[in-house]
Formats: sequence, structure tokens, C-alpha cells
Amino acid sequence: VVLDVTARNESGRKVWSHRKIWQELGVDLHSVQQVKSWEIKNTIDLSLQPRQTHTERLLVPLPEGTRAAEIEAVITYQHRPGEEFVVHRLVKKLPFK
Amino acid sequence: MMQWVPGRAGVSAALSAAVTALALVSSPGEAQTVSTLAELIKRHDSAECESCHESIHKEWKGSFHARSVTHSLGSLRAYIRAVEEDRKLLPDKTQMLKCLDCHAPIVNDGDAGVMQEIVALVKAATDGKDDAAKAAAVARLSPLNVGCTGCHQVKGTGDAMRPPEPGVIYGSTGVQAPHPTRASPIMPSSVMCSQCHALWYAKDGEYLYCTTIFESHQNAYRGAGGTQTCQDCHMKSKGHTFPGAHDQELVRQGITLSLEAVTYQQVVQGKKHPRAVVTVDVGNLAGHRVPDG
Repeated sequence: VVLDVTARNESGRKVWSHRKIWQELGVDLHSVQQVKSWEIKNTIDLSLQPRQTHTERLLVPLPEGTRAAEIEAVITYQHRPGEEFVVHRLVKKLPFK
Repeated sequence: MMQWVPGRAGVSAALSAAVTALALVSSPGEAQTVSTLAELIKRHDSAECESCHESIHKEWKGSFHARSVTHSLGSLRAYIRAVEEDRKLLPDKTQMLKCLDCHAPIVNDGDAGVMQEIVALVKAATDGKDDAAKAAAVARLSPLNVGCTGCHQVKGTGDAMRPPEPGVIYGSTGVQAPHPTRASPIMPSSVMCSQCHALWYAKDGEYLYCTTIFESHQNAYRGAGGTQTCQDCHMKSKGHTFPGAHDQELVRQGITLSLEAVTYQQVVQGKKHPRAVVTVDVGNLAGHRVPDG
């Protein structure tokens, strides 16, 4: 499960991004299995826990002179590279006075 | 009435006869093992179930349960290689059940010879250079996928003290049917699924984690007040298709996202710089950690 948060300026150029990954046991950051199933014994759990909400609080630096920003948050479920789908996408537009 | 009291020789003969009888007849709770793959497949042929349970059978055919062996052949081959080459052991029933007790529960009814047949077929399906021969091996292994009797017979009671009775089909209720049926209290509960989707202990003491989810369900979800069962989410709306992480609708129900963002002028050495303060909440409503196997 991948969270991508990006900021774009008024011309649509990406000016900032942040990524957080919750991963299955035994796989790397690209969902590629690194440890065979039967070898998984001593685990580090980097998954999203049930009945919990994970909060990312981010201070986004924007280029000088930015007049408006668009913040996008996307959750993607990636089974393996190339086999993925967007779970949720949310966008907020921020005008700078 | 006179009672016959056997002498020492009589007791010995009686005991011997009883032991022989026990050896010849399986105990009421245990199915006799078969010695060929053909017999095993015949015993657990899901086509018999399909004739009455057509819609359920159709649902199951689209599920990952219906591909539990054929979808995992690469891993099975790697495991056999690890057993033979790394562990210097024979891929016998004890070793192979570490995978197949869950990927192919019906193999519990097979003897050592059946397991040899299966190991040879897995090798043929993955190592061979002849595509037709590989396809034939895959087709031969295909009936071993988790099918009707894998859950409703072999894993039907989930109780070592009350093993499934041969020929009995276990369900949530013991309805009238052309075959023996019995209600199994575990069938509608998460315990049923936990027989495979949980930490698995082998006869030789090894345990296999296999990134399964029951520990998370039991400890993190139930422990935090969750009350839903596996079946509530993975069977209620789509039955025996057992939707999981490949079902986008189900994943969207399980993961939540919210976004808040405000502008902010950060003052650094008397000069204002444009910033945004972004708060993203990602929630997990599933009854287990996400992602998981």
C-alpha cells in the first residue's frame, strides 16, 4: 500500500512529493518477494494495522512566488511492479493571497 | 450363565486379533489413505458437487482457492529445491505438507507414493522444456487446488480430537442432502480460515509464517475491539469467490483516506515563505493488517 502526496504549482508543475509505503512481510519496497514464504520467521511488521489510522503531518515548502498550489493524496495498492490500482485519490486546491 | 474366562494364551490371542482388526479397519474418524494420485482425485472430485451446487461451484472457479496449487508452482518448485539441496532432505509427506496441507488439503488423504507423484509433477510442470508436457503436468495437478472437500471435508472440523469423518460434508448447518452432512461450529467463524491463514506448525516442529493474517486478525483486530469474522467481508457479498486484495471494491471499503491542507506563510529571518500544511489520514477498516497474504 503506497501513499503518494504531491504538490503542484499554478502551472501544474510538480514542486514537492512525499511517499509512505506499508509493505507485506518478506517483500521489498517494490513489492518483490525477497524472502521465501517458508523462510519468514523473525518478522518486522511494516504494514498498516487494523482499527488504526495513520496520520502523516507534512510541512510542504513551495517555491517563492507560488500563487496557488494543488495538493494531491493518492493511495495505490501494488501487488507487484506493474500490477497495481488506485484505491483513493483526493485533491485540495490552495490559493495564496 | 457361565462366563468364559480366557487363560493367558487366550488373552494373548484375543489381543492379537483385536490389534489386527484395528490395523485393517481405519478408526471411525479417519479416512484411509490412498496410494495413487488418481484415487485421491477421484475421492475429492468437485464435479460431483457441481451437479447440485452449480452457482457456488462457478463462484469458486473464479477464486484464488481454485488456483492454490497451479498459481504457486514456482514457489512449490523453489521449496522442493530448498528441501533437497539446502536441507538435504527428501521431499516426503512431512516436508511437503508444510506447503500442501494448505495449498492442497486433500493430499492429507494420500500416502507417501502420492506425494512422490505430486513432487514429480511439480518438477515436470516447472522444469520441463516441452510446453505440452508442462501443460499436462499442470492439468494433472489442478484438481489438488483448494476445492469443495478441502474445506468442507478435510478441514471441516478443525479439531484434532474430532477429525472429519470419511464422506461427511461439513457446513454451517447440517442440512438434508444426498450425502451425509454435519453442522460444524467452526464453519461460519474465523477459526475455519485460521487453519491455513495462520502460523502453521509442522510435525517436525518447524513453523511457517507465510505472511498469513490470522495472528493480526486475532491479536490486533479482535484485541482492539473488532467483531467481524473473515466470512463477513470475504464471503458475504461474493460468496465462494473469496474476494481479497485483488478485488478493488473490497480494498476501497477496507482502506480510508482523508486529506486536509491549508496555506501557511513561514517567516524565516523576517521574510515570508509560502508553505502548505498537509494532514493525511490513512485508516485500515479491514479485520487484519494491510497488506498481507
